[in-house]
Amino acid sequence: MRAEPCIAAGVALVVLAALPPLAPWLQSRLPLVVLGQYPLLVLGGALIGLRLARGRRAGWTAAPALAGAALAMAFWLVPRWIDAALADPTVGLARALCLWLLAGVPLGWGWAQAGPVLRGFALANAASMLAVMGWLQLAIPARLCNAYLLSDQRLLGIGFLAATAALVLSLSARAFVGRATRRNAPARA
Amino acid sequence: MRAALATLAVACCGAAALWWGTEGGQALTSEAARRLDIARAPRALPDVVLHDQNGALTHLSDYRAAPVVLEFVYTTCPDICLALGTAFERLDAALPRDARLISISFDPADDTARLGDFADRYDATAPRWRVAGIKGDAARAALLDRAGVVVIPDGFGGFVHNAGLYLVDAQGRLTAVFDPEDTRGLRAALADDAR
Repeated sequence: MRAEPCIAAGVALVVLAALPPLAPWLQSRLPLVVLGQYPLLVLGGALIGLRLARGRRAGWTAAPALAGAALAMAFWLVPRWIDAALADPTVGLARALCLWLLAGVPLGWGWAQAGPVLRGFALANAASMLAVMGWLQLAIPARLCNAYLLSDQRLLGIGFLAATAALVLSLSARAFVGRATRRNAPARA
Repeated sequence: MRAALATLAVACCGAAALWWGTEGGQALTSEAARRLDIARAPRALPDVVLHDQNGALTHLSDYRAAPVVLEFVYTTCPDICLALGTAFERLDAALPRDARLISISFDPADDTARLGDFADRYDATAPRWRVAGIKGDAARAALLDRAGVVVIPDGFGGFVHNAGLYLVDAQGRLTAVFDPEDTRGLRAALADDAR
């Protein structure tokens, strides 16, 4: 993808996720916020980060970029700040900008710069964190967010666990099936 | 080495942000943050007009002489408000004579008859224990906002809300919020205030 379309797609995703008419709908339910709006914002930034990283070699920046992205996402997963972003539009704007620029862009940049070991570590870490968050949402009997129902919290927990399963299955398929297929594939003439 | 140092710096910045954002790990939820904030900086409540189970009108400022415990309920609540009512029953039996209890309904549909039904369920008798609604939509919103009460529709015609026992001192300031089952903690705080 050329630079302009890539960056335009990133900006379009952020506009789509952060502004009406989609944003109020995404913010109406907890699973939609965390599993819909957050990924759109992060993906919008990641597209830009990937484009910025193209043609640049700075492998040493991969780990700090991925760590920064993970911490930025972790901050906005704290229930207190999920509530605050809904109650206060200024905090909501800060969240959108942060997920876009401090989580998404470093994620795209860091992913492009990372080698296979760091990528594997990041994915394994993401899978374990998703599983823990899913378990927490299901195990805690009280509402964590004042602005959302307990049933939404349960749905989010199930969503996290489904995302974990999808990620683990995808990694397993690439680790075992993909490699075996390549190894067993006949050499091209 | 450069990567390790940069990662460490980023991790330190992220950890500092999380530390700040959770008040040192004490406030992961907005409910915990609200209680912490009220305990650190007691807040004055707006002087709203209440209409009670007998149809009588009172101002919140009428309760300045003695400590008051508030709870926020709606009378048709099948869930947490029952636990709040039971907590108030225990407090009614245990608190000093001069203390006052007010079950405040945030549901505009709660009229005198419904407030009376709720009061009868727990033998609440004014002036010791009033079950009251708030006059005026703006006043209701202001009181809920000031107390940090968040009410959302439950999808079945009722409401879901953050529950608590709200201690208001003799100056009319909200000084602490306790879990509905923590009547012992509330009594201890009242005893401390009295000293």
